[in-house]
Amino acid sequence: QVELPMSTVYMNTHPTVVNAWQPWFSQVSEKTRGELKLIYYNPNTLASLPDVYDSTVSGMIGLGGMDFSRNPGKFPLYTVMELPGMAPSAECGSLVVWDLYQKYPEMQKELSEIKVLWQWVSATFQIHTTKKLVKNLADLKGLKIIAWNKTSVSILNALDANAIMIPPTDSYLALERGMADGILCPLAPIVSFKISEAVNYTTVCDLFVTPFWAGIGRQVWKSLPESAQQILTETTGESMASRSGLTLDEGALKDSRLLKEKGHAFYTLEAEEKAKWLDATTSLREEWVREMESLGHKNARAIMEDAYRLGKEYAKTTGACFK
Amino acid sequence: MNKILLSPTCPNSCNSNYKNNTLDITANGLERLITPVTKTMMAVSAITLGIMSIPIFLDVIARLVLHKSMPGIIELEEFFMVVIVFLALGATHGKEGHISIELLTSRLSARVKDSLDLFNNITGTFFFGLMTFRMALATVKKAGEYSVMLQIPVSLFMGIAVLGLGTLTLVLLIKLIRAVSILMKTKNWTGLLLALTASVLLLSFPLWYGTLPVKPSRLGLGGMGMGFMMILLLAGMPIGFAMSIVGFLGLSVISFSITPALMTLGTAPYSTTASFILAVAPLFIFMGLLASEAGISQDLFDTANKWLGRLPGGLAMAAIAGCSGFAAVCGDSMATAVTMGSVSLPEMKRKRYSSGLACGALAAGGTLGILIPPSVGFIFYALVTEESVGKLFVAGIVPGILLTFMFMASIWCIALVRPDLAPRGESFSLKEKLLSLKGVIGMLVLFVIILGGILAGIFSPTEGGGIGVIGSTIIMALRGRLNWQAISRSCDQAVSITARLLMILIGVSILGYFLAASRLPFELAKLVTQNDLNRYLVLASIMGLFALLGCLMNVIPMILLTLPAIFPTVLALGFDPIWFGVLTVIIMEMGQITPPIGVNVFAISSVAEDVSMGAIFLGIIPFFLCMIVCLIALTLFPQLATWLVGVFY
Ligand code: NA
Ligand code: NA
Repeated sequence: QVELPMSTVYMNTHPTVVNAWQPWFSQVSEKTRGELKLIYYNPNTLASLPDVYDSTVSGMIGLGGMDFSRNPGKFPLYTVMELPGMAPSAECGSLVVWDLYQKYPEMQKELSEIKVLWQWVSATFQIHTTKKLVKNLADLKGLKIIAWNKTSVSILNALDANAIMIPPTDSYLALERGMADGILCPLAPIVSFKISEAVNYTTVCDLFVTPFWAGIGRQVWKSLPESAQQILTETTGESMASRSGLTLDEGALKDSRLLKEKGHAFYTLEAEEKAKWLDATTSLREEWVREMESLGHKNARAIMEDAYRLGKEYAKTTGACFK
Repeated sequence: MNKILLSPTCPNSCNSNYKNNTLDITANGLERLITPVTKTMMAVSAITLGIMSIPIFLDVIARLVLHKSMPGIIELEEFFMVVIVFLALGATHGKEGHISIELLTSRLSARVKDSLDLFNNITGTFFFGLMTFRMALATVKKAGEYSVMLQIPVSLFMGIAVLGLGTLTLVLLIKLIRAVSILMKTKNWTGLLLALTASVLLLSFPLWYGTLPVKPSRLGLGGMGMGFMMILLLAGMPIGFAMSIVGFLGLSVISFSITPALMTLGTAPYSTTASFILAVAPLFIFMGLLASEAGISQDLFDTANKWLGRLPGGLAMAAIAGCSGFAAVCGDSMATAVTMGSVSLPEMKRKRYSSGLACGALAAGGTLGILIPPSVGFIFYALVTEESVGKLFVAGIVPGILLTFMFMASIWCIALVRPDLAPRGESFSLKEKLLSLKGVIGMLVLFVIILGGILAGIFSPTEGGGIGVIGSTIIMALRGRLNWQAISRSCDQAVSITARLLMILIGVSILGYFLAASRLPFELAKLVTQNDLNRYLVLASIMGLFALLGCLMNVIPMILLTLPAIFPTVLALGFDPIWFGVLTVIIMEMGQITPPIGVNVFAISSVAEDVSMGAIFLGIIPFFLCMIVCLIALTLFPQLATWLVGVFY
């Protein structure tokens, strides 16, 4: 009997862990007749977050999962997923990134130290504000918006807002005391960090998503019996990518219903206005292509265009998270 | 011979009659070689600590005036932490040594002590040598990774960490050579052989563990690991070393191979240190030291003494009041205890106070540093639970004042029963008393700046430490006490406290990964949360577990390990998370003063060198009881913690 500790960025109470992964744990245990048991560990218990990749490679974490952006510079090509307007839902984005991984050897090479089981993307990032509902670029101009990562900062600056960087734990107070006018993040942390008590409006703009990997270190993978390897491969891949994304979308919808009951207002950006927002971020796409080309990826533009094409394609079936 | 770095050649059993042998000459040569290096590194570390508040201050100003944020402050502060801690590790161990427990070692004969010294130094040298090597490998592997905003290569700062660890290894090697030399001079061949055998057995544990016929379960390994760590601690090994070594050895056998343990050894020390959340610790410590240089702590004690000195136990009560006032500007309990201790202990000694009572009062009074805001205790609680730091800070005020009065009341009672323990002081006229009140102005100004700034939304609690440093510097300047000696003295001291603290936290993180892999804390937490009898019984068992673990380990890491498993139950039972945070911090305070690992007691004993640690541990008993009463009062009247939060939010 083998016990495989799994650890990602999510707490054990996160909807994706509860609704997508825990059921899969039982499935694996059943199919292997109890020979392979997956056990979930909370973040930071087996390794600090930036060390999760190395810990997975070494086998400290049996099955690891983390956002690519946690190790800037290590997985450059995957930053394509963070370009603005890539996917209107986590499910759609998850299918796109999994497709890209299977199609492009250069993207596989960035993850060559682990056996990748699936990939997924975060819930879509929205703008949440305290006093004023943002309906267009003019409303957004000059507002102080909290950003938690570099992509948020570049996008906010491209949209003419003032990005300020404040850690998640301090964000509530900053918004409540007027140190910031709003925040750019998915819906889930709004609830878990109590930020919902300070913000009153959400502009659904699906600005971007962040991609994640999930996999097993090569050494651990080789130590597993062939039958277990087969079961792990069969039960993950595209279906797990889609299920991980779907649970994030469902979580966001559930949170939005809760917030609406408390009087929180939601506004979905009009298609015409959204096109304007994406136009304003053209420089980010060009910069991405330039940067990748300088790293030797001559077909960077093709990868980017393919990613956007896949995003449109999958969006037809998955639809947007907030319809 | 250069004696700046290391203690004299013969600490225990030999005397100066012995001549220097080849080993001593080697050790002295090595020391001459690395002393300029460690001195330079220490200076860089102190300068870095001196400037680390500046980017935070500028960012706050930029936000206030330009409505813009400066990019990369967070990672800049993380890099500062790496420089401060790693460059100081070696020199700190050379000078005073990293914090260790002297309960047992101080009672042993010199010959036994010498061989324990040798054992600790052999183990330490090889262990940190391995850590340096693994981190060098990790550094090479990190090539190409850069920081998020400023795009600074991560390997640059990991390289600095490797340099620091390498220096620590060299300092340990020098101590190792000297330890061998002493055993040879005293012809202590048994000691030499035993120490050598024990360290070889310990270090080769991962190799021979595989050949054992019976192997313990995961939980068993975890339990035995903790037990073995206690043995190492009693053998006088520095706390951080013992925790890292046990964590590493445990990981090496609990996993499918030794690879994960080696990887953790190379990455965990860096990731533990490069933390923005931890960066507040040196800032609040530095601020406390500057406040002390500005005369704020002396003024506080003088004022309290004029008002309370005449009462039974007056000086000790004044010291408690001083601690409480100083806690309002200092976020750390050890720093509070040391600061007020250095001000009030000489006075109490002059008045012939019982040294146990005096030191006990200060060790306990110092713990108010984490109950009265600002507080690193609440910051760590918020880190795990994602509760608001601001609310927690406000919630600590009333219980902090309550506990202050309870401490003072118990001193009053002791002094009434045993006037010989705490004689009365001189009396002052009402005019003198009123005039002395201006002594609290400095403290009040700093307190209002920090808490006011946080509540007004000008800066975040995390940034409060940086603002406090600038604030204390300005007060120093206004009082004409701003000079380079004072600043550099505070920098050096803050660096030394930070390096010792972080050495423990590095050990805690490695041990924590091992304990997590063994699932011991989760099972314990499950045990106390699973009895679904009565919510207050569950609460009592949680508190009991915290208190018990708090005796054994440093409390902040204990909270980091167990709270994630316990907190969901606390919420499910319908307890207020802010209120529970106050209870948790009071338990943290208890852990700071209970044996065998009572950080505040160690700190006070470093100020009062002629008082034995046992006497201080006896002296804390009445204050420990006060804390229990305070916990009961908070459980009966939760409003004590929650009322003020409701007023502000
Ligand atoms: Na404090
Ligand atoms: Na303790």
